[in-house]
Amino acid sequence: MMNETDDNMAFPELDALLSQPLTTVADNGFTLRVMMEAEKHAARRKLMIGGLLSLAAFILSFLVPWAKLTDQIMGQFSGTAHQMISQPQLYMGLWITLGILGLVWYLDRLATVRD
Amino acid sequence: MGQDDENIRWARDAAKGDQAAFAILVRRNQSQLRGFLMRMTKGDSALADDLAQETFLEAFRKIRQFGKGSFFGWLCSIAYSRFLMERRKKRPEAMDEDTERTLEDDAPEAERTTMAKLDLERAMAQLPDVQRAALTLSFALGMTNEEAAAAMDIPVGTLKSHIHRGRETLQTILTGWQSQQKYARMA
Repeated sequence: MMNETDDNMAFPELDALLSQPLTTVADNGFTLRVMMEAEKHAARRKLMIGGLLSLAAFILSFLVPWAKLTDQIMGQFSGTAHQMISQPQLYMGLWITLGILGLVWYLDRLATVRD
Repeated sequence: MGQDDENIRWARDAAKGDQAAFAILVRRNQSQLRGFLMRMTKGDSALADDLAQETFLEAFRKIRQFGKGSFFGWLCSIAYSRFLMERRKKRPEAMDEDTERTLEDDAPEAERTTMAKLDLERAMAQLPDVQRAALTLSFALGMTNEEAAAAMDIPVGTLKSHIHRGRETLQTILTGWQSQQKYARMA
């Protein structure tokens, strides 16, 4: 399709030449490569969202007044719950979870760079 | 445009998370987009393919942002801005050196095409990027002035002036080569 411009008639041969369609480029696996990259991107996005949600949950866990909540909800069992929460093993567990998330992120970056 | 109606239909499916629909969009548009970028990069097929891949990946990420209008035009606007970013990153002279080498390397393949088309590509390579883009979008890709201007993110009046100047320069270059060929034959 030729574009309508004011001085089309000045160079009729040139316009015909310019209007020739571009050379067809064979796919040769291009679509496949793009889709593989797109899938990687989608997987990375899911991983990042998962990581951010875990991090948000981890940070929020510090803001919740566990001792008060356990006193009100648990009543007589509050002592036990409070004891459980203040156990150092629990925080170690949280740090290990964070460490695993960090490792997964690092491995993902490593794989991306290698690709 | 029928082809673009179909593109829009597939784009809607892709926006809902259908990756197969996006793959169809890539397959349908890759040839024209790579052809456009090939001309923009003055025949550097490796760079054109890299830019085309980046363009499709950006389209994949932003597919929900695609509204009304031509899907291919939207792709071209991403591709053109990617090309300009690449152009800014790389020294313009370096890109031109690469191009000269590529044109020479590609000469045997180019001989198979018509001489006129080869001359046009060589002449096109001498135009400024903005004029080359304006002429390619408006003529070879058959976009309306409004679509081409939107793809390049410039006003329609500016696009028309780039087309006009580009055609004048091309005419001068091609006429000059024609005269040189006549002299060479006479000698």
